[in-house]
Amino acid sequence: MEHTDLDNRLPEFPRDRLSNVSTSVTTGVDVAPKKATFQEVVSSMPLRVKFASLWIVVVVVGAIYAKIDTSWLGGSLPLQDPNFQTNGFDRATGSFGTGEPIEGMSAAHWLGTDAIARDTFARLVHGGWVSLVVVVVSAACGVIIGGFLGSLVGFVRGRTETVIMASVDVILAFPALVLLLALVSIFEVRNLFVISTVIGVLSIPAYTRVARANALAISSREFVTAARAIGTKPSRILFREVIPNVLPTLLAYAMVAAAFVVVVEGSLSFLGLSVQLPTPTWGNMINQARRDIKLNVAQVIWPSLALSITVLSLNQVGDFFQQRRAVKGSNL
Amino acid sequence: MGKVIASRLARLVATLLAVTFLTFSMTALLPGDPVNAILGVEAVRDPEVVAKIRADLGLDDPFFLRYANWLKDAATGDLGQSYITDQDVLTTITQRLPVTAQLAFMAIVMALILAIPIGVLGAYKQGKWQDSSTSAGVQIALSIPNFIVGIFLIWLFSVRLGWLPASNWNRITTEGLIQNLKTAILPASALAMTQMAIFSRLVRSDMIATLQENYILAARSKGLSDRFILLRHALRPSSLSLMTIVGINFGALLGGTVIIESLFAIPGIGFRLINAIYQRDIIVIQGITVFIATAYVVINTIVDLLYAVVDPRIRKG
Amino acid sequence: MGVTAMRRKSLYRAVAFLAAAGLIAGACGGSDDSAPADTSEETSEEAAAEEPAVEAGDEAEGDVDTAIEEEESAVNYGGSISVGVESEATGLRPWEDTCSSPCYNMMIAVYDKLMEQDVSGAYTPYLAESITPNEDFTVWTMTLRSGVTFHNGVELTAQTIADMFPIQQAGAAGSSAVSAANLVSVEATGDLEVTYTLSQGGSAFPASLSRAPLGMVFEPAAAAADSEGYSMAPIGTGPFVIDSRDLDNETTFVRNDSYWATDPDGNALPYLDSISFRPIPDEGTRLDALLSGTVNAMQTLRQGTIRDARAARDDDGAAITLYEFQGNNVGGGMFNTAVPPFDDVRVRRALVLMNSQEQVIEALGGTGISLPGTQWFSPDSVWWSEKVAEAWPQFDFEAGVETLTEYVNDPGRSDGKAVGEPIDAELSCPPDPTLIAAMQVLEQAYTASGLVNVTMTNYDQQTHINNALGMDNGFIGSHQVHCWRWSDDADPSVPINPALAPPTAEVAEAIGLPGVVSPLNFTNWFSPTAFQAAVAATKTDDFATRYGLYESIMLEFADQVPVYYSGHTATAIGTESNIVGLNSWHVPSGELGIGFPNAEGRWSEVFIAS
Repeated sequence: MEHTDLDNRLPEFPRDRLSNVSTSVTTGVDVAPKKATFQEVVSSMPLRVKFASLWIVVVVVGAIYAKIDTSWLGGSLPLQDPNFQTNGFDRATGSFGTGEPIEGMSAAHWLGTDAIARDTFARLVHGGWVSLVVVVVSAACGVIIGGFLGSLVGFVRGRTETVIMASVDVILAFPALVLLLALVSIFEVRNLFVISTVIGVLSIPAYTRVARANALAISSREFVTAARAIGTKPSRILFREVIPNVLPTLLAYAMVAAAFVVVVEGSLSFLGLSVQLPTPTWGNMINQARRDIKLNVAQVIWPSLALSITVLSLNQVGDFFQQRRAVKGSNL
Repeated sequence: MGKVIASRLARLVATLLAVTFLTFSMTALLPGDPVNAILGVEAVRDPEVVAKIRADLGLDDPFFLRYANWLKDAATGDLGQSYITDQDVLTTITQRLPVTAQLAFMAIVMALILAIPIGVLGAYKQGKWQDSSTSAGVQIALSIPNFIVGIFLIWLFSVRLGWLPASNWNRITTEGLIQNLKTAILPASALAMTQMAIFSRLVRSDMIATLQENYILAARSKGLSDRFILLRHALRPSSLSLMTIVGINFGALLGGTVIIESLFAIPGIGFRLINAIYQRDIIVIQGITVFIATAYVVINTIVDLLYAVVDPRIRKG
Repeated sequence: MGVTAMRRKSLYRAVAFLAAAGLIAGACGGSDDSAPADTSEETSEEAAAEEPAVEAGDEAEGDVDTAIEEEESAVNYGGSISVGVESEATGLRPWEDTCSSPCYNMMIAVYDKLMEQDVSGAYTPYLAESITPNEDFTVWTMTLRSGVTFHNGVELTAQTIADMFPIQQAGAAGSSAVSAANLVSVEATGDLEVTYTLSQGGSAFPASLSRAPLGMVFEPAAAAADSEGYSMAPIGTGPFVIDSRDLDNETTFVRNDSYWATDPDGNALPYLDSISFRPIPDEGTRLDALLSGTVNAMQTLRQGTIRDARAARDDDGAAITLYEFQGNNVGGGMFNTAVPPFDDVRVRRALVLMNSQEQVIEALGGTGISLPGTQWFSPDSVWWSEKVAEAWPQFDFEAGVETLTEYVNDPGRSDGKAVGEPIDAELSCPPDPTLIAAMQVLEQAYTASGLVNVTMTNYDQQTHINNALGMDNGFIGSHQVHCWRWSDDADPSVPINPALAPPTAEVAEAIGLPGVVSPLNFTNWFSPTAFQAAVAATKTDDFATRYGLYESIMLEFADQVPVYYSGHTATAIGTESNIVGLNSWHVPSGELGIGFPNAEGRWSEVFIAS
């Protein structure tokens, strides 16, 4: 409900530098915010956000199912083996397969083939898996660790806040890409899980700040003051009231951060420093296709599109959820 | 005020110590014989040379002593010497720093030139078609990785149209400003796209918040024109966060130009770092990482201090 | 220092040398990553009556090399050109810095070599005037040209060469070249007469004098005074003088107005006013730079780029000339014959029979460009043998399966596994995408046989080389099936001898040559007959004899298959079409030079036609 009583507004809290959201939320009565139902959320989405969500769902489901499918279910999907070279020697026929490398779209290969005649569409779908893992692991790392730390300091404040924020800032001080490059090259780390965890650790400061800003806002709300007044243990307030209310904003931020993380992983694999080939990732597909860009530019376009649209969708959805929290109108 | 500065400086020192310690540990924790890693395959495996390296780098000393010595050297500017190229690391960095700094600076300026008007427009016409279309365009710019933009720019402006060179760098000192700009503009544009998106979103959201303030309403009721209010009263406070982010991003760009420099063959720090990584030149990797991290921390602290000084609570009195 | 210690020292140096010379680039097939295989000269280009190199079922037919021929247009003085090269030269000191193709272009501009190769591949004096061996090739007497001065005015005398020697002995690149050539002393025995003494006779010693560490003439006094400065401001006797060096960006040379060489008509050289080299690592960007005019010439060692350049020239009508070359350097890999099951020739043969070279070359992007390899010489080399080409196991999948089945069912199989169990094989290549693609072709084929459990690994170039070297396990190496590149265009003894020498001390003792160990025998394969043949070939300079010896070695390779091949390395220099002279430079005797092997251009007789 729009609220125009300017004098009742909450004091401004320091704007978090890494989130473009102002966290002032007002409702008519000062109780814990009501959770909207799934239906309400979806129906309030503009069309583009609906499409974006759909794309993300498709990518995620596709990647997961493809992974399970090829590992355990023996290929029930109409999806080819992403690592199978269709022009390879076939023992059964005693001759080479009929696939052509760097081909265009065809009935046999919906998006064509890559430099060694592997099906591009299959590789694209499987490529989503790596991005998915990186996003989920790093987001989990950020939300859990960063979210907890930020809520804690936002709620408790004082010395704890200074110490924890200072320590967290040390991580922030590291230029992420450089650190990743150094780590991958010096320690020869190519394990997907490790890379994702490192990215996750590097994003903790951002999550901490978002959580802190929100926890500050929540902590000065009347229902929290009331809870304190009736003698509820602080830890209970923290876990029961503060964190659950910080979580939605954090998750919204996670989507925006996810977009960024997908680009980082793409850059790493573009440089050849991410997971080992032959595992397909969108970044290394772009890198491989670049060599033959003059033969068939489409092979560069498909993974680029996949990457860009996914990043775009994550941004759209993340923005939408962030903006739901800010409902004031302009005075101009 | 003094207290704020003191605490920020204390933080700076602590962070620097942590950062240098972490970087140093990375290379000190290398698996295998560090001499192998440092010398690379291409050096003479003469036992005398190996002994000399071990003595030079103090590889037989305890860890903390090594760290202390290395820190002492680094503080006086001695970041070591690459055993693969025989080049002094600090010299390497100082030769390349102006190039990367120029790229970063140009990228930010170009981004700001586009971002501020777009952000203001979006905030002013929030929810209307001007807002959604510019937001959409900005979103797209944010979503396309910069190396893809770079590839496309080379193809269009260099190969197809032949207006600009495809690679390398013309230094201002030797070739003059025009030639320099010709080589700088494509890579800077590739970098600017993402920055522009970030900045314009920030301007837009900050300005939306500012436009909700009391004094805007007051100004309106005084009869001042929208344009006047936008530019004079709304932009300045909104630009506070922007300046903060600009500062931080400049520092981040110093380390973030790696891919673009590789693509365009630009002799900056990122390029040198990538080469060091491919050559497994441990000393250079360490030196450059420390340098970039330090620059980043220092810039962050300066921005922090400026923010504290210009904080609206103090300004509003 | 004791003999064994000295041997070990020279051992290490030998290691460093070949690694330093970059002869090993660990690349499987023509493409490569940041440090391409260094090779220097080649042998023949258009030697007498060679059959075109066509294997059965081979797609790439004929000779892809651009012809070496006289330039007809009238010479033009003046102009500057810029050349895009693959990477920056980390240093320009022949005795110290390892140099591969890009760096070589720069070094040739500023240094002269004592010997060069002419169009037939024969070694001919260049900066030297003549060179004569004694009977057993242990003492070589060389006469220098008179009237040659360095860029800093110092005169070139025999003493200069003698003074270079201690510096070469101590240098990273030079020391291993010295020991590989068995060079013991270099003395000035006259004003312009130099005597080289070798500890072992080598008929191919002039080959060492045509490679950078021993052959490029630098100014020893300046080098000793300031070695690091020398790297940034090299002083040679060559056609161009260093002007400026902006690392990772541009290195510029200007004409040496007092250059000693002239073209066959007596005109002063060089023609160009200046030449600059710009490192552009990205292949696509480098070609784009040529097509857009950002640079006037560029070099490449990748088949994919050659293919794109050809397409730009033929389909898009770009006004460029492509100088293509394919030499002895051949991609492929090796088996570590010290590690079961690769110690059994049946396994090796089987894996080669199951390997379709055609498909691998296709994966490397070299179809129609790169010729399949069967030996360490390219089909247009004087050393090529048709007998060997026919002896090499051609792709025959079922025969491969049969051979491997025999091993797998052998109760006494060397890997100790149960009868019927598949063998384990680790394929390893550097992380270049085309190499990975080629590796996957192999993997798919091997897996299809049902008899091989394949693991694939990739390590960066340095680690890849280290794995093969095996410094920590007695130089046996921890590799199994390993991407590699073989051969170059110098005299065959240069790449072949280190690869055939005893791999371990035990083997050396067993054949009565204690201490003669080569850590550069990466395959760990030793055949006394092959090794004796290689040694014998350095004791004579009779071509027919040597040809027979090398043919016998290659026949043994085809039988015992310690190595396998993909395709010969295709390289090219692309220039704007008005730049001529790359393929028509001359050696002092008046013959045409060897051209541009390995994309190393000689720029002294290049000019811009009107």
